[in-house]
Amino acid sequence: MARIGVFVCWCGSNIAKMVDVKKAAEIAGGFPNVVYSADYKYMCSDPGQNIVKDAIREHKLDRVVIGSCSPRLHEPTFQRCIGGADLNPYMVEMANLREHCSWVHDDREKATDKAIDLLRMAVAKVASDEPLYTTKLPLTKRALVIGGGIAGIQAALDIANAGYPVTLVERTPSIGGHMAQYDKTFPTLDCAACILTPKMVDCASNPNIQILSYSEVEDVSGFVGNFEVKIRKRARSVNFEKCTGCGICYSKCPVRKIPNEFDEGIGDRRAIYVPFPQAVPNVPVIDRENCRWFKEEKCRACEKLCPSQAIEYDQEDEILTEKIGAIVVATGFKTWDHSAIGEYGYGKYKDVITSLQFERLTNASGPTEGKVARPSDGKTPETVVFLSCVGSRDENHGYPYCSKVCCMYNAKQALLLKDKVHDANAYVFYMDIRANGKGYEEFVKRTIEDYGATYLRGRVSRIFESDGKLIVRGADTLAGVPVEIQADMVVLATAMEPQTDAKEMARKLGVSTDQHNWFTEAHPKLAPVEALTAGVYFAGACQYPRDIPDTVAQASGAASKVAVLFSKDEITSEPMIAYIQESSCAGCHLCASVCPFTAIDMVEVTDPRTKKPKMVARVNAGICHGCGTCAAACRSQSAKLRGFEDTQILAEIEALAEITSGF
Amino acid sequence: MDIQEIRNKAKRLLESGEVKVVVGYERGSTESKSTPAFIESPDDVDRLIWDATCVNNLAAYAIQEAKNGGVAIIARDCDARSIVMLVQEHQLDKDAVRVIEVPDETQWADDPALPESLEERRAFWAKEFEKCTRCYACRQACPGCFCNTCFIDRIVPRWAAKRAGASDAWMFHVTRAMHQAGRCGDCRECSRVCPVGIPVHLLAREIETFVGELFDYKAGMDMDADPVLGTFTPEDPDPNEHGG
Ligand SMILES: Cc1cc2nc3c(=O)[nH]c(=O)nc-3n(C[C@H](O)[C@H](O)[C@H](O)COP(=O)(O)OP(=O)(O)OC[C@H]3O[C@@H](n4cnc5c(N)ncnc54)[C@H](O)[C@@H]3O)c2cc1C
Ligand code: SF4
Ligand code: SF4
Ligand code: SF4
Repeated sequence: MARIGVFVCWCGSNIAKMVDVKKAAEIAGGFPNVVYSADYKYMCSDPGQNIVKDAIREHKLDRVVIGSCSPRLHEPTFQRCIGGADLNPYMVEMANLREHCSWVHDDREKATDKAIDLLRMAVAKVASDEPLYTTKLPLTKRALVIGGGIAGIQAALDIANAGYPVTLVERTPSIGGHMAQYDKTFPTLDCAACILTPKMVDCASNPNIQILSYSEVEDVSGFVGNFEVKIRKRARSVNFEKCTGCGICYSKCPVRKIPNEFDEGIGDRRAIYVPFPQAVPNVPVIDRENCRWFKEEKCRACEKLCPSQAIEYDQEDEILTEKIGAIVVATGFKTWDHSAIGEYGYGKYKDVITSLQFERLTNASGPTEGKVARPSDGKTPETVVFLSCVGSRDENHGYPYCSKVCCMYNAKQALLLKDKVHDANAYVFYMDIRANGKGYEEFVKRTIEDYGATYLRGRVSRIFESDGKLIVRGADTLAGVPVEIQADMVVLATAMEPQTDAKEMARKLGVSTDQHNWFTEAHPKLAPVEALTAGVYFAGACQYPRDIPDTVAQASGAASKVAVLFSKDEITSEPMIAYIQESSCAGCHLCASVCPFTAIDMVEVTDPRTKKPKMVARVNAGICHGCGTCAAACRSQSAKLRGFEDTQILAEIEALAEITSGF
Repeated sequence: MDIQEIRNKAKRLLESGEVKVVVGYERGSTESKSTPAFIESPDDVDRLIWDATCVNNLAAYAIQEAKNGGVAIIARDCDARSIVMLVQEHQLDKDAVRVIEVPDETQWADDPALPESLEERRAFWAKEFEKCTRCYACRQACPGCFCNTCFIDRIVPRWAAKRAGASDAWMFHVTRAMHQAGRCGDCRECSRVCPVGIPVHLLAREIETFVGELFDYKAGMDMDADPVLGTFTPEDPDPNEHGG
């Protein structure tokens, strides 16, 4: 026979003002198997917890009901409390007399009746509770950071400085991401290279950081603390150890006119190249699609000229398998390809360019060495029109959301234009100016007032070429007049969008994406850096458009989450998780497909009855969050949730309905 | 469809070794009956018949037979949908099953008209369920009921009393119908085998109508599609807003 104690809390006056706590405790004292009941002002306080502990010892209680607040708040408190009196911590049930009762009712008599019902249900449930035990799982203290933009760099540095090893995987030949493309950054106009390059170099020299550039994550399996990650290290064709970064190879490579991805196609690179001079690692790669040796079996110039014999044409892709404890996803963004739409003449007129291309035109180490020159003829443009919201806030062609940074970099670019070409005219078309950050409003004001950029509120309807000029037609909705500008160059602030392979990456990681394919955080307010999958965190613009200050803040946030995880030596797995009754499982996969955490795998077992192999579901204790979705879905009721067994829930329902006959 | 054509197809499949067994129909104890036939040798294909007496959905046999090697099933459209559903739910290996399609020439009995008003409908089913002896013939015949342990047979917890009785029959039939959501191909085996003539299939059919309206999904049409209740997208409609 169970020996249950019921403890009713007043919560000061929070519960007591609407519930007759004395009466509730007294009546609960008469419920089946209840041998003791009490009430107290603050059950969660030290004296309150002592009342519980003393009663456990004195009355030999083996399970406990606490009538107080939400279990979200104090279930762990009371689990610890009864654990301190040598009971299994899971032999306590909470009846939520506050959120579910006193706070939401105004009739004291009825609220008291309801409180008594809630206590009766909890007593019925606790009677069928069974002791549960946490399990310890091992923990590998190595982090994986995917993406080497400013987000990945910051996260890797913070984790490494906390003392943990990091593998930083970057797809392109160099870390740096988008920030490395810029000359100056808003709102302070810091030189991007001056603040980014030192961090890149820190990454390379930090003994805790292993940079795998020109590499990609192929596969992720396992769970928090125990991921196994397969990384494809693409063949660089250059020996990492031998290369000194002297650059002779790429200065002599005869294949010249390959549009450089890093320059957004504005500048060229060779077939053997580093994307930009400050690249980290400063080891070139051979682009095999364009290399003459790989295409025509001719050349081998780089091999002949390399003073360190570092060229290795026969290198092959390597697959590395790493044991990883936590993953930071920092894969960033790409910009929307506007040419598909055709509007505004991007792709048709050479001098209609994107903002990223403009960044390269202003960059001192870019293809024009920082000289603003228009792509068609290299002339310095006198009139430049900047268009905001190209594909952002545009449900018809692009995305409904605001890309958040465009208003600011438009201002930055207009300012840089005026700074570099003093008598140039800068026009900015905008819908409204969104400059909500520290120093942002002031920055836009400076562009307009000190640098004389002309801001026009309205959309551009058409751009066409006439007499060597780009005619920009639009409206100034504030003045209520149509405008026509004869421009030399037009810059499109194209929307930020997720990487093309974001969905694929999400699938590998077992995380989810929203309707646009941005990664989804566990909670938009209270868990903004965590994925729903334990041990996976997000940093930077892979989750949503954001600027560098926000990206860095989030990256440090993600890094600190990793450090907290790694500060323990083992992972404690919660016992209130799902399990499968294999004998009845039909192997239909339904539970596996509904599990939001991909905690269920299908495995082959031998059916004890038929001695034949059969497929059954199996719950991975390290991944399961105990949400119960599988238990609700399984038709044969083979998926079950510890602590919430059907029998326990039914006991509560029966108690509520006062069914005493039983089934 | 010409019976010879079916026999030839069966023969070819057996001769080529593509399948180990063809499940079809043969003459039963009387001229007016057929019974499932399991043909393992090309020489036996002449036992196969195809006429108005061939009414069983043979899909459920596929699960067992496919475990011993390839199986071909003679199937009408509705039966083929069961097979697709079984593949979707990993009960059948796509490569181990062949379908010999036959046109649906079944003389289906007329469905009773369901009353419009919910009150009258409740009364209609209450009357039907009075008759149910809980013999579970419907469940045994349904290709969707492949669970090893049916919820209704569970002892802990027990969802319905062992004895027959209208309220326990409600529990069984309504839950079973819910379990068919997005999976029933409308083969009507459940009603055909019911010894007391309850039109059980109408329950599953009603659920299928909802599934179609809510999710634009029809059961058993695409082997590669995820089962509709196993997927979720934020765009999914909220059944509560559809009077569900
Ligand atoms: C034109 C323009 C100008 C801007 N100017 C400013 C400014 O002045 N100030 C400011 O604060 N913000 C500015 N921003 C915003 C800024 O670019 C972003 O805030 C910042 O780049 C986000 O950093 P990130 O590391 O999250 O992403 P990214 O910079 O996009 O870096 C992501 C990295 O991950 C790598 N990667 C992607 N997928 C994979 C994969 N599957 N495996 C491995 N690696 C992968 C990429 O190659 C890349 O190196 C500007 C944006 C634009 C478009
Ligand atoms: S839903 Fe149930 S029967 Fe299907 S695989 Fe999962 S546990 Fe097994
Ligand atoms: S309880 Fe939730 S998280 Fe755990 S296996 Fe079931 S569906 Fe997945
Ligand atoms: S009609 Fe009846 S037997 Fe056929 S699949 Fe539907 S529920 Fe099952």
